[in-house]
Formats: sequence, structure tokens, C-alpha cells
Amino acid sequence: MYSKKNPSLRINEADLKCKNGCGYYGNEEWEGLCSKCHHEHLQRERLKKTGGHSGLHHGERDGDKHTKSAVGFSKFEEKKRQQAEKKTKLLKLSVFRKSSNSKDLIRSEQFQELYSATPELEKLKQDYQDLFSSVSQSVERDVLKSINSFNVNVLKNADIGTIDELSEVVQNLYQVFAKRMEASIIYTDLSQEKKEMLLDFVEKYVMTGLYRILFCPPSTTDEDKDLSLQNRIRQLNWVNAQHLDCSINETQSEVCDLVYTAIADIIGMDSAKAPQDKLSCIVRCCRNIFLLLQQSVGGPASADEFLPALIFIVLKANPARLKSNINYITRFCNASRLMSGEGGYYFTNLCCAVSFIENLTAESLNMPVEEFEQYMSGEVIPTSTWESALMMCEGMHLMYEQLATLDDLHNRYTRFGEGALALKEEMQKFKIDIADEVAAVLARTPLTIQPRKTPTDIDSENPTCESLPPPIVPQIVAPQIGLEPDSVKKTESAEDSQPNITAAALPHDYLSLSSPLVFSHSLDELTTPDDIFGAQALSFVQGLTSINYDIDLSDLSADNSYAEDVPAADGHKSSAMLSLEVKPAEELTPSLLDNTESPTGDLLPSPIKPLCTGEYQGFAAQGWQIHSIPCETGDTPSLNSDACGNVDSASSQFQT
Amino acid sequence: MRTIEAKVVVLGAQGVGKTSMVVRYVGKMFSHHISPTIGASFFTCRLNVEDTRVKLQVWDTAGQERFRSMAPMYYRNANAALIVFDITQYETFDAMKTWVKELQRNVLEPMVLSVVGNKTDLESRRQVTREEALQYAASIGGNYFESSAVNDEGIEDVFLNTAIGLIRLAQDSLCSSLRIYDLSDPMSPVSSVGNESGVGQNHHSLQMTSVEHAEVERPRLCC
Ligand SMILES: Nc1nc2c(ncn2[C@@H]2O[C@H](COP(=O)(O)OP(=O)(O)OP(=O)(O)O)[C@@H](O)[C@H]2O)c(=O)[nH]1
Ligand SMILES: [Mg+2]
Repeated sequence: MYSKKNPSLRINEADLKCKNGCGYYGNEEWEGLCSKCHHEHLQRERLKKTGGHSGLHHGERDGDKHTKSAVGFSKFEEKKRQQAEKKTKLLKLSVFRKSSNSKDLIRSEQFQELYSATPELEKLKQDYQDLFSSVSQSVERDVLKSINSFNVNVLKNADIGTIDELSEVVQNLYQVFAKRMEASIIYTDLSQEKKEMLLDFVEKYVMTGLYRILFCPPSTTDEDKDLSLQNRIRQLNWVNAQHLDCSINETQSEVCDLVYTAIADIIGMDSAKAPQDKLSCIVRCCRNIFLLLQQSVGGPASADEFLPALIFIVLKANPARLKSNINYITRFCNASRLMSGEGGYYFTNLCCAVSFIENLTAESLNMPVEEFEQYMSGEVIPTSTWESALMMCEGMHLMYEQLATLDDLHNRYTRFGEGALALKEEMQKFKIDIADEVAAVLARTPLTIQPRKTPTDIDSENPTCESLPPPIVPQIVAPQIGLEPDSVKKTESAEDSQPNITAAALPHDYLSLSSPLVFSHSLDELTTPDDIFGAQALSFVQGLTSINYDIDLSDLSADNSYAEDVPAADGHKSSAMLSLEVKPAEELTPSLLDNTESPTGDLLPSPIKPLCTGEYQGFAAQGWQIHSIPCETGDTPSLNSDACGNVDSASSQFQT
Repeated sequence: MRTIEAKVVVLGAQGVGKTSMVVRYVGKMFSHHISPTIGASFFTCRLNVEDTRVKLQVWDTAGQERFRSMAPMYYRNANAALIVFDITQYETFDAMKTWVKELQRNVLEPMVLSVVGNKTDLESRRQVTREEALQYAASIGGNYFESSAVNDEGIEDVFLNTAIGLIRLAQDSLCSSLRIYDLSDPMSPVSSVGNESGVGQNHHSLQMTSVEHAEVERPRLCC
């Protein structure tokens, strides 16, 4: 049957050669490169990985398969993948690795999540109950311990490694466990058969648990490939057994039944979780194919009949996530199982079938190109009823699958709706709670405090409010002068100290900190350092505070308006100066003050003097004090003018 | 008893008789047994050579050109290859050389190479001389066999010598993909392979015939 093949339809030798042009044969799995070139390519990719991502090479042939809607989706996919990659990259930075504690926590949570409430795991345990009842307790304990460390190992690498690295880790762990069984005395009594079963159990258990993070991870292009393969197979649904030269006797009902069973087997692969279970789905499917071929051929079927038949079954079944499943098995099925044995052989054939379908051309079907194009474009459709029935079969499977998806989506939607409602309720409750709490707080806190607050705010807001105290002092002094000479003396000296107050601005801190009540206190403090006046001055100021209270508000408001007039720069300057002088004022070391302030001191006296001189001229007795102070305070002309202005305004206000 | 498990892949140009050879070998192995053989593209057989059991997993490949590009998937991880050509067609001999080159390049682990010239029953139309083929096989460090699938000649030799070659390979212990067990219980590795019930059922008959082989072939090991 092969000799009749038209030689002209053979694949051009050049197509099989390595794309690098090194003369050796290339391989589809290695992106058309030969093993050596592919290896080098991989290494280059690995180096490049820090830059762009390499996972974006869907072959050119995938490109035209994307329908329009798929293009938009693929963009989304791309983004998702990039994000996943970014995350991986970030996690690769050692900085992010450091917080091992919190990560361990997350990991254990992840662990809990993955292993809780999975009926599959329960079933698996049940399946292996016989095995475990036949082995000693210590073996069982050791197996469970191994599973645990296996999990921890994989999860540790899950965030930081690429999927290939992860696959290596997993394969390594299988080997480690196999070696452990050989080496450890716990296992010496076990037969080889039981050891293999234990190995299978470990693989199944771990993979079932980790399935969600290992199957079709977002960092790979698996999902894209699934979709394009699925589309491709849908486009090829007209391909029949004759096209593939496979001998399926469709007139026999047994053969037809076997075809359906084989289709069901291969579709069932997607719902299995452990790689070995998936593999056994493939094995079941392939055995059924051999059975049906035997019926059709009338003897043991050879590879030449088997592969086309498998291709036919795959085309008709169009299994979900085929590429993802194949990649998952390749990566995570125990390699020693996959490399040999029946499962390995069938799996290899399945890979071949997929590769054949992906590269299928008119040539590979021995069909004129025009006819092929007609079929592909849907101009011509196959006539055989059985073929159409099989086409429907695929459609039905697809429909059921989508119904299931729809169901799932509906459930999720309902859950989402419930969640949203719950959230809304919670928010409303929160709102009410907050309102209640606010009301409670308001009730608890008397409003009477508020008037006290206002002046404070204004004070603290103005850097220039330091200029406030002086206006009060001189203002009060003036009337007192008129009242009694003694007090005039005091006030005069108080006035002397007035520049001191303005410049020293000790209230600065106090004012902003405290309410007007403290204001008077600060005044006290101000005066106390001035030893000269002693108790008299004190009592006077204290007496003043009572007066002060009445005028406080108006005073402040006046001050406020002044503050607005003062240019910002001046304000800053003054405040800076003021803060400088806080210390001298407290310590009252005139010499120091003199030294520091002398350069600007010349400017200062003039603004003050006009106001004061007339009044305290005659009290030279305390001149030593007076002299030192003007010098020290004279630093800021602007402030001084301000202060004086304030004094003026304050006094005028006071007088009015 | 020592057990070696190896993967043997059958390669060669289209129509040289790969499948016929495999079917003939399998058919003979299985014919003694009642159980039906359902497939001849993959089968396991066990040969006892002296005190070593060699388990061969023979993978036939679909020879059609349209599947040519998938060959690397089949010969991946193979420990031995039977590369078949048709002695009546010189171009199949050339194709065989291409296969050898491809294998040497793509399979990194050492493997047992056996060159098989098939269709000796068509001696009159021979195009490839025995000497030329022998010389080539020697140059690649392989064995050369001639066989006829039609007349059932020389096929068992091919498989047996492959098994012997694998034992030698295992002794050098260069090959990591070759699975070697050293077991007190001779039955355990058999069952370990699990679900090969289809062809696996015939293990016993295979074993019986293989013991025969081993006895017949023992002298060859010495030379
Ligand atoms: N005369 C003769 N014919 C043979 C022999 N072996 C195989 N044939 C014939 O050669 C043809 C091809 O045999 P297959 O076994 O299908 O060859 P193959 O290598 O499997 O072919 P592909 O799988 O297509 O590569 C068949 O018609 C066989 O009858 C042989 O030893 N002698
Ligand atoms: Mg064949």
C-alpha cells in the first residue's frame, strides 16, 4: 500500500533540515532546529531572558489561524503572561526573597488551599489503601513525609522558576524519592512492584494537589497554542479516513463503537489530573484504536496503520486543551514512565499526530492543492453521512463542554452577585455604624470647647503672630503711666523689654501649642526672666491678663490682618530670626545676644525708639538694661516695623 | 538476576520491510500463544542471555514520508536502533546512512546500532554487496545483519545481537537512560512495567523462546 504513493508528494528533504542550515535534520519540537542548534538557541534565549521574553514565538502558521476576535484575546493573554513574567522577575530579585517568613506563611496557606477539599485526593488515598495496608507504618509515614517535602520544594520554586526549571525540579524529586526507596532500610522489605506503586502514588498525589499551579500556567503560551490547535482541528474537520489512508471499516458497528470509545477516552484526558492518569487515558484510547484496526485489517496493526488512525481520532475528537495536556505530561510525568513502555510509545505517537495536524498540507493528504483549499474554505463539504455524524460528534462534545463552562460561569456569576450584595449591605451597615459613632462622639464631646479653639488655630497659622504679644504690653503700660509713676517705671522698663519680647518671641512655641490662656502664661514667663521688675512686674502682667482677655479677640483679628499684609518672605525671615532668639531670651545672656545681633542691630532701634522714647526717656536708671536689649532685638527691621505697627494698631485699638 | 530494560527503535526508508520484520518477529513470538496480538508497532520482549535478562521495547515507526519529520520523537531516548535497508535498492542504503548520521547527531547517549539488509530472498536483484554493508557497519561501530522477512531468515539474530550489545553497553555503564536492575527477585521488574496487558500477556511465551535463543547464541558471546 505504500509503494503506490506518488513520490512527488513526498516532503522536500530541505524542509526537514535544520533551519540553521547546518545540514542536519531539524525537529518540529525544537522549532525546526537540530538538537545542537536548538540547544545553542535555548542557551542564547536563557541569556536573553533578562530582556524581552522569548515565549512569544507562535510560529507564523499560528498567526493566520487567529480569527479576529482571537486577536483581541491574544493581546489580553499577552498581557497576562507579561504580568506573570514580571512577577517572576521581581521575585527573582534577592530583595524580594528575603522576607522568607512572610513567604513561608503564604506558602503554607497556598498549601492548605491546594490540598483542602479535593475529592480527587480522597479518592486517590482510597485507591491506594490496599497498598498502604500491606506496607509497614514507617513506610507510610516516610511516604507522607516525602510528599510533604516534595510539595514544599515545588511551591518554593513555583514562584521563581520558569516552567522548565520547575519541571526539572519535579523530575529530580521523582528520582530522589526512587533513590530513597532503594537506599533507605525502611523500604528493604518491599518488592520492586510495591516500590513502583509507591512512586506512582507520590506522583499522583503531589500532581493532583499541585495541578492548579502546574497545568497550563499563565507564564507559558500553552493556552494560545491550545486555542490555535483547536481552531486548526475545527478547520480540518472535513478530513476523513480515506484522506489519511487509514483503514477504518466504518460499516462495522463494532468499529464505529470503538471509534466513539477512543474519542471519549482522549477527550477524558483533560479531566484527569495526575500526569499518569492522563497518560492512561491516552493508552486506553490507543488500545481501542488498535482493536478497531484489528477489526478492519484482520490482523495485528502496524505503526503504518496506527498513526493515521490516531490522527483521525484526534481530528474527530478535538480534545480540549490538547497542547496544554501534552506539555503538562511531558513536564511532570515521571520521565522513566514516559520514556519507555506502552504509555511512552502511545504518547510519542500522540505528539506526532499533533505535530502532523499542525503542519498538515495538501501534500500530506496526497490531495491536489486546489481541492485542499476548497475544503479549507468550506466550499466543499464531505458527503459521507458517517463523516458528518462524526463532525457532529465533535460539535456535540464541544457543546457539552461549553454548556459545562456556561454552568460554571453562571454559578460564578451568582456567587459574585451574592458577594456584591453582601458587600453592599456591609457598606451600608458600616455607614450607619460610623454615623452612630460620630453622633456618640459628638454627644460625648461638648461643643463649648469650640470657641476656645478658634483663636488657637489662627495663632498657630501665622508665623507673624509672634508679633502679637508686644502690642498688648505697651498698650497697657501707657495708660498705667498716666495712672501712677511707679507703674510707669515698671511699664517703661516693660517697654524696654518689649522689643525683647517681640524679637525673642518666646511665645512662639507656647502660642502655637496652647490656648489663649497659656498665652498669658507665656507672658508671665516672659516677664519673669526680667529680674529687674521682679514680683511687681509679675503681678502687673497677671493683672494684665485679665484685661487681656477682653481684648484678645479683636487684638488677634487685627494681628491677623497684619499678618496677611506682611510679605511671605518677611514672615519667613522673621520666624527664622525669632526661633533663633528663643534661646537667648530664656537664658538672658545679653553679651551673646549683642554679639549675634549687632550687625543688623543698627536698623532696629529706630523703629522702636520713636514709640518708646517719649515715654521712658526719663528712666535712665535702668539704662544698662535698655541699651543691651535694643541691640539684641534689632535684627529684623521688617519684624520690628511689624512689631511696632502692631504695637501701634494694638494701642490704637486699645485706646479706641 | 540482572535485568536491562532498553528501548529499540526501528528505522529505515519506506518499504524496506521494517514492519514486516517486526510483525514477523512478533508473530513468531506470539503465535505459540492463544492471546491475540492487537498491535505490532510497539511490543516488549524479553531475552535471556546467560545470566542477564534483557527487556526490549521495540518501537516500529511509521515509514511514510509524511511522517518523516517526526522521527526524532521516536528515537529520542532510544538505547538501540535497527536501521533497515533493502538490498535490492541502493538508494535505501544511502538513506540508511542518512539515518545513522541523524542518530549520531541527535542522540547524545551511546547506543547500539544494528544495520540490517533485508529481502535476501531477492538475491538475484541485489544491489548492495554484503562487503560494502559490512564495511560501513564496522565504520560506525555497528553490527551488520542480513534478513528476509518473507522467508523468516536472520530476524531473530538481529534482536538477539541487539540484546547482547545492550549488555555490553550496560557493562560500560556509560548510558544513563538504560535502566538496569540488580534484583534478587527475577519477577519483580516484569510486573513493574505495569499496564502492558495487550502485548504483555505474551511475556511468558517470549521468555520461553528467548531461553532457546540464549542457548543457541551463547558461543557468539565468547568470540
Ligand atoms: N521479497 C521480500 N519482500 C519483503 C521483505 N520484507 C518486506 N517485504 C515487502 O516490502 C514491502 C514493504 O514492507 P513493509 O514491512 O511495509 O516496509 P516498511 O519498512 O515497514 O515500510 P514503511 O513503513 O512504509 O516505511 C511489503 O510489500 C513487503 O511484503 C522481504 O524480506 N522480502
Ligand atoms: Mg512500516
